[in-house]
Amino acid sequence: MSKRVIPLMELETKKIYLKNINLRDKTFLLSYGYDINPIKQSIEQVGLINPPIVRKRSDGTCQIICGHKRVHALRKLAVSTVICSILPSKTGDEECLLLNLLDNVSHREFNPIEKSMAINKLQNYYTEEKIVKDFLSVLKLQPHITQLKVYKPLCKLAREIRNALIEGNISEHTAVQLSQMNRESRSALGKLLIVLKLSVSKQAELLEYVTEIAVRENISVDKVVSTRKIKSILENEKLNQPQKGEAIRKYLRGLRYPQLTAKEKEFNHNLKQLKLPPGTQLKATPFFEGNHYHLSLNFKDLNGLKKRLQELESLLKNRSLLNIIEG
Amino acid sequence: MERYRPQRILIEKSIRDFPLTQTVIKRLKGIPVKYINQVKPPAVERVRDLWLDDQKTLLLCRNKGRFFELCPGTKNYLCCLYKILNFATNCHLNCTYCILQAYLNNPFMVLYTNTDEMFKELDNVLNQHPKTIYRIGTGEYTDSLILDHLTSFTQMVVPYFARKSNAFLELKTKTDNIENLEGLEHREQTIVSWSLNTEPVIGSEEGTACSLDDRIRAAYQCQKWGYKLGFHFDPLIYYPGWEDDYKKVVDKLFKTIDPASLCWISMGCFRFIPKLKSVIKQRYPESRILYQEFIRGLDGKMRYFKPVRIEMYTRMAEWIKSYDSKIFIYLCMESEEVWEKSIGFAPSSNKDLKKWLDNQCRI
Repeated sequence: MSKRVIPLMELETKKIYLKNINLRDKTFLLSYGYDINPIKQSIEQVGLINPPIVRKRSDGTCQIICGHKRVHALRKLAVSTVICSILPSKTGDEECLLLNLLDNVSHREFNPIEKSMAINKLQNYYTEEKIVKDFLSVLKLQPHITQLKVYKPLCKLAREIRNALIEGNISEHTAVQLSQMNRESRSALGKLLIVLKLSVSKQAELLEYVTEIAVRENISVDKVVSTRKIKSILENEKLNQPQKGEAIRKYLRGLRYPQLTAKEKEFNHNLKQLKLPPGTQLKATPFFEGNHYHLSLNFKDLNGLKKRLQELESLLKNRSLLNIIEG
Repeated sequence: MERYRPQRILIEKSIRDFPLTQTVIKRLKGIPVKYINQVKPPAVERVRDLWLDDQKTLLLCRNKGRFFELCPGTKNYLCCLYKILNFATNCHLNCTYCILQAYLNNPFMVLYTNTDEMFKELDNVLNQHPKTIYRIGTGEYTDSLILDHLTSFTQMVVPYFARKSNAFLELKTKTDNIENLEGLEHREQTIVSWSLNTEPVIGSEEGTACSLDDRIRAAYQCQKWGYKLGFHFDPLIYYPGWEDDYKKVVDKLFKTIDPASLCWISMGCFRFIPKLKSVIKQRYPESRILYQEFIRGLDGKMRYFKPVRIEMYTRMAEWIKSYDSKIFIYLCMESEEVWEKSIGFAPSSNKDLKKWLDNQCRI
């Protein structure tokens, strides 16, 4: 990053009326989802330690460059004036953005939405290549174009999805996938994922099932997740959250892979009927693709082994075993 | 079918005077040419993002590696020990399912014009093992005939194979670019084969490839010129209504083609390496081929669930055999179990399968 940022000595310090600071101007805002209370309490106890940095506009108002949270808190506290550092009015927007960005990253890590806001704002002045090269590592992202593509759309998502993302209820990958859906689908699937609070890998799995079922059946994503079955699982008071998540995942997997899940069900049914001796396990190859089975058994000594083998031999004519192996 | 015509030509300086280079330049008069010292591998992003655009660039260069290699096949399934003659890479037909999208690291249409070295390499291999039968295909990394109107490559290779008693050439295509095959001395050492599919699949998944009718018409023409023929139902694509559509293809085929001219018909259900999925999703979002029931096969590739594959092969084999029970059908990259359950027999090994196919060449 070669851009020169304003040296502090060029900043003039002045008392400004809070009513003259335009809190609605979010040109340089890079904060999202913050809790105002800690800073409010801090100001109440020890006063404002660092003055906000503002730039004077031609209409006489002041534009916040750094310190949205502080000004926000002061307004909540009904303070009428505040000491601010004032940037020379000739200061360009690009410098202002860099000043805010560098000020913020120096003392905290951005959440994913803030990273997205920063990328979008930087794009007003720089190419994607330059952002990847010079800024992604500042944002604690890998300096690669795919990272830029992943993060860029996040700040434009619906508020509930943005909040779910910063609260850790959905992953960046999930948020990106949601951002590519239409409003109804995004809302229905987003709500489901927020309620279920699945792990990152299970979110990805569920998303894949839902989107692929929708494409295959030529229906919308919201139709896939708005079925009676899913509703009844969500409303089932006997199930806790992880159990609901697992039940919905299983249901969707069954829809996505109907023949495979039917075969698994049949295999497990036969296995149950077979009543294998304790310490014995029979497994098919993954997805029943191979044509062999794996049998394992536990035994302590020669007599134990003899006993296990006899028990297994007695099962050779069992209908369920035939169903498993030849069915 | 519209013939490939690049928008620009890149030529490696070291091969600018080679006869094949000159032939191509003459046939593409008016197309801008740029001479380069050496091809540099393009960035991964370029291959991914500019694939369709970059195919409009024809790169003429030297094959610095081997022209002749064993088909990579796949592990844990039966393979026919096919050999590949790698004279060109890439294909502008742009079938949605094409493996080249995940395999090639260069998005250009590439033609290797150091053919003298290619024939020298072939001579070495074929003369060293005169008792070994070689089935050699040019359609693995490209379509065998897609550049033939520019290269007349078939006019070099078909007569070459006609002089070899231990090697058979298979030209695999989805085009009707067969004009150069007329009148060539082939001595039945060249098999011309077409990949066939249903009309809906051709329409939605096979890009700018020929229609089914044009493929069959071209095959009929080759049959009249005395060539032996092959057909590949590969990939077989499962979708609601596949039975009716594939039966129609078989019926249409045998309305025109004499089963006696066939060396073989192969079948292979759609399968793909996992990384192809994101490429297809990104490049062809309208395609529906990824959303049936796939499982991870023993070779790591995604395949239809086994009972689906068995069902498809069984029905196809029934329809084909109803025209002539002697037609030789084989499965591409399938397990012994699937062979047995769908067409009633299975080779005991890759060598066994190779022997069967070698014999088919000589019938």
